[in-house]
Amino acid sequence: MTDYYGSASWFCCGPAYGGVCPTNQPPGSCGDCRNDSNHGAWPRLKRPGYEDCDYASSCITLPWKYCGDSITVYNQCNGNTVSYYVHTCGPDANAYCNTSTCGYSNRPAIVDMTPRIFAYFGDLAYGRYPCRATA
Amino acid sequence: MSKISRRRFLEQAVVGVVGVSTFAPLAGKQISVESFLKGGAYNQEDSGDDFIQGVVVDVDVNSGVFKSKDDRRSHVVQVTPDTYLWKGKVTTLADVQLGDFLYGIGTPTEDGMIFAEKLWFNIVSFYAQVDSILEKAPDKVRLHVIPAGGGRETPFIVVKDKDTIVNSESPSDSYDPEVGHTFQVIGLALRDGSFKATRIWTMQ
Repeated sequence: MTDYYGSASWFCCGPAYGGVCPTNQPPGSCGDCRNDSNHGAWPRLKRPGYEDCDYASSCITLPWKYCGDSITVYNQCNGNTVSYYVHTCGPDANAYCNTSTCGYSNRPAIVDMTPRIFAYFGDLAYGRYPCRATA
Repeated sequence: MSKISRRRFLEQAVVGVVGVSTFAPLAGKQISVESFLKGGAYNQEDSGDDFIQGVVVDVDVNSGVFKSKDDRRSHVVQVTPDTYLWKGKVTTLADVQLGDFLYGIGTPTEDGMIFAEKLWFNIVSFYAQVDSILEKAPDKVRLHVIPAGGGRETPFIVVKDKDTIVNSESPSDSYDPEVGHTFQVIGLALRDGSFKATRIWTMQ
């Protein structure tokens, strides 16, 4: 396991029952992502039998992960630490390679978490924090 | 997360063990945000009963209790004076309406209620690209945006106003969105289907 520095945010995944997702989100690359579970995304995902998903290679060197792999994320702004299981591919670090948050600049977007996990990581209304991801 | 009895939770609240002040009706009371800034590691169990998501189906402002449900479960949620409650801004249960959706975390009790710690109503997060500018005024900009990843055919309408925070800690008017710009929107889903951006994270 190695540490990677970037920024972390949250996203809505899974069924839009009752409007808890603003869009009717598909259940992620692994097929079973849910807002109320300890799930999240990683920008480089391998799934046997499917094309590799790579949203990072032109921005940052990250390891490949598989569905169900665990990522630990430390919030450099408030000191909180959470862990989640990879259930989809993302965020698009190539497109969002330079974010600035909480006094930290030049941070690629490398982690997206479900609301369940992010609620323990920080404030959903703040939305993005500098992070150290151990993967 | 282990459950506690409602009586035990309130006893702890009175003596300040969990940092919850004596419970009182919440109408008109503002909640501070400073309680967010704390360090610590959370040892969550998967799909635990400390997480709340769903649609509000009942609200009693006087007692500080609301009910919500999603496709898996229903919740009865107690809002306390220390609950952080967001709906476009930090506010009170009086602003919550039937049909609002929410995410939240709290402490479950033995009788199935949850004492809310943090609640976010009608909050959204999505990445998007500006497709067109519908309106540009000194205090307000309305944008057609295409959300990244699809999931919906109709382009989103995003409203940026003088209270929208762009990247930094205080509201900023310096960001001037243009067609083709990409950003992340953190905002409030409005009843007309549009989204009010409370924070925009730009890709610099």
